[in-house]
Amino acid sequence: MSSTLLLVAGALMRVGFLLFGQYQDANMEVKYTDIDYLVFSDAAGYVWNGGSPYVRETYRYTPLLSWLLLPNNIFEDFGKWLFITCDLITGLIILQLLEMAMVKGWKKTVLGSIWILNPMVATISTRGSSESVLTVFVMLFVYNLLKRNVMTCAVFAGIAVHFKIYPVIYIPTAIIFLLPVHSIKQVWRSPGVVFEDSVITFVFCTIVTFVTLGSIMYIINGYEFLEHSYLYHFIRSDHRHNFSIYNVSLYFTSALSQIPSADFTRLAFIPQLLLSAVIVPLALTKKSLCDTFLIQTLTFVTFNKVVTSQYFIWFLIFLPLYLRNSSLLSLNKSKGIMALLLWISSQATWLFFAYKLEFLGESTFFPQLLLSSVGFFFVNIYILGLFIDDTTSKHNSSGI
Amino acid sequence: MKQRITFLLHSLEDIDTDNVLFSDEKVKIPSSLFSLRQDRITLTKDELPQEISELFSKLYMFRIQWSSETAKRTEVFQNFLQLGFAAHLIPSTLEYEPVFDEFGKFIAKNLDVKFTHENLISTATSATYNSLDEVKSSTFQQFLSVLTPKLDRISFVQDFDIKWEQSELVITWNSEPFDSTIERTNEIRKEVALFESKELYGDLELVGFRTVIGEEYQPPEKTLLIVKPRHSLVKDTVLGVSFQQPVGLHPDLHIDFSPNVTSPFSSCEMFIVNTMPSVLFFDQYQYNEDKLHLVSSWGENDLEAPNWKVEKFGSVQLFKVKDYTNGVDIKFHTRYIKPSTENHFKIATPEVFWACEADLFMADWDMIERNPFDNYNLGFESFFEPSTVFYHYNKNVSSLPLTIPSADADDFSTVQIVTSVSVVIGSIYLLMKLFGSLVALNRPETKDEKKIK
Repeated sequence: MSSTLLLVAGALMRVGFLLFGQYQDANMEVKYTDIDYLVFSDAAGYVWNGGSPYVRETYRYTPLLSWLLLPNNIFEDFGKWLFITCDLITGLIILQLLEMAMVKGWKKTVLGSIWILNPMVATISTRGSSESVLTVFVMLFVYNLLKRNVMTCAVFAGIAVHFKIYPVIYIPTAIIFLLPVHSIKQVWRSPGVVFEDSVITFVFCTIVTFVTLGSIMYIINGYEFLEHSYLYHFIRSDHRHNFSIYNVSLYFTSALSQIPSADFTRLAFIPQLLLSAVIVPLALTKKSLCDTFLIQTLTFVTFNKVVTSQYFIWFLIFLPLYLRNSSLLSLNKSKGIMALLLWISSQATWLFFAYKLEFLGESTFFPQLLLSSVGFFFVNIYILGLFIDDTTSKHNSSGI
Repeated sequence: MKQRITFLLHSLEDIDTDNVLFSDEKVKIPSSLFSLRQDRITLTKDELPQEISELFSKLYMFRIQWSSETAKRTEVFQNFLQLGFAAHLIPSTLEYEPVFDEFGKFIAKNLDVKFTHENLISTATSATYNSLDEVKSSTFQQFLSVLTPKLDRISFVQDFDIKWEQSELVITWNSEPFDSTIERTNEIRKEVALFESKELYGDLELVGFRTVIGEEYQPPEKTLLIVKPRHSLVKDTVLGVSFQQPVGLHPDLHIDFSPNVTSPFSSCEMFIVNTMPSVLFFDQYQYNEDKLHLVSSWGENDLEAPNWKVEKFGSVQLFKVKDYTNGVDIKFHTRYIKPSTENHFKIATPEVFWACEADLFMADWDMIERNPFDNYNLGFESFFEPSTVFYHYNKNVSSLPLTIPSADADDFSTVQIVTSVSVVIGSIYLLMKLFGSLVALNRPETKDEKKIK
């Protein structure tokens, strides 16, 4: 199957999902369309009428997203078609990157289909979740980085960080990638290399893009923009149950903690950022850029205070590239299968207890949900360990 | 001060000289003769204790209501109150927060229901507080004694309604039958009436006796009164209200309209008024818009806050019902509640009624306002024009129990330890892996590695 055919199949699958969703919305009590889609649509409606998107409660995104969705006011499914398109563009870039890494033929198709024919990915975009807009920006950033189009790459990095803060963890990776050294150890010997032109250009252009976008939004929407798009994510204590290892603890802490300083969840960003934004890039970037992106994203999500399945999209975009030369598909196939089974079963365990809480009203916070999230956390840690070992021992001369 | 006492008789024929006593000194009515007694006292500002009149004067208007779970609602006495306690306040100054707090303290002291300005929500017509607190008859009687000269003994108060408007305080309460004795005093003019009520083409015909004792005396005389009720009951229909099972964290309130439900008049529209404590919230962005139109949702509408971060007592929704075939479902969502706190709640079932523009089908609708028992004021009726008449449905239950799952505070330290130890172990494991990799990747290639490649 050629790339075109694969993309057509992906498109047809998504259109099918979309149509099914329309049927479900019209005929069933449980709606297919994600609540977030209604949030963006309402926000786009306020913008359409000359107002601020933040008039809509729980709109916590850049105004850019509500502008992109302005056509929703004429055609309410516009956003879903946009997200499907972004999904496919992401898929196309994944295929391009695979080609750059000399992956061809059926292997490229199989790896590409991890994204393009993934029902989870298709569901998320057709339900109206905006993640795929971000994945396009992230992939364009990665593509241009590998092509060494430093300025273009920096612009997309700036947009991605503006869109959702987390891609900021890719900045150190990009910088290390651009350093004219073979191994990070050389930087210690000659620290002057960090002032390399491409690095300066990248950092400068990323900052300029981010600050320019932020300023435009600030001028138009004022403090509301900062409050809802950025500050909220630092002060939020999302206590509603989710996969995060911190979740049950956050519920207790938010409700019971008398002394705020005793709340260690405030320090959660330390292991999270230290590992995902510093140590992983330092250790692995020079070996493989995309493997580093995968590992740091999975680390970031694993240690995050809120984890929902939408976040899995963030690292899934790197999985096809990672697997192209992974021993988990060849020498260590059993480990790979085991990792996948563990990942699915630990999630299923958590979901089982979440279902009992959410729909049957049983108090499963302790120990069920706590232990299931601990289980899922350690499965992720184990998988990260596998990925790190695998990346280290991979034969990879391209650096992709 | 004036007091009006009205007895709703089972039958006028039961009355004879053996069982009732009328004199210029006292009136005695045994409990067996009547189904409900209503008292209404009217006090001017000057008749109130000074401290209290000063406090009340800081408010432009208020209405305090309370109704018990077993209260009988009657068309004669117009006591269509929502279950539980309600305070509706309109301040007369912009500096209203301290006034509300002061008023809240007064209510807490005298009626044993506590609220501050932070607990109030603002509806279309007033600042409002609701709760399902119980107010005992003895507490209410104690409250009255603070305001008024000595009243006759009262008992079995099933609901009360206190209004302050234009420097006049009107307190109305309804009691279940008890052997009543009304004695003459100089301070209070007591008007006593006994009526039997009969329906008369949608109006009510009240036939009975009336007497006045006090400084002046009016001996009992027969009276006939025709009144047009603002609030009526839809007869022979009881709506079934329940939570769909299983309840979970998103209780779905189902109102069953399966009995033959028809609009009393063509100008009527069906409404639902729902009052929720803060543990539940209504998502105004996600509800069945085919069946309901949300006119407004007042109060605590935050879609994310847990209950311990919410100050307001809860919220009030006013819905217009578009389609009631096969019943109506209203979806609510629970907030997370503090571990190890009371997690069994009582939720008042909503008021369901037809609201009709009286001037469109009643030639003599102005009779509604002349009804001596009419009590139009703040509260849900004030969301409608004064020319509105209401047809209420009785429900199978006045409240529903709701249990919200919560954690046990004793597990707090275990949770903290398990979480932090897991994070530390996970971090160390990854650090070891990463340092291993850093070392391996920065080491000159050994022969073994070359062989693998």
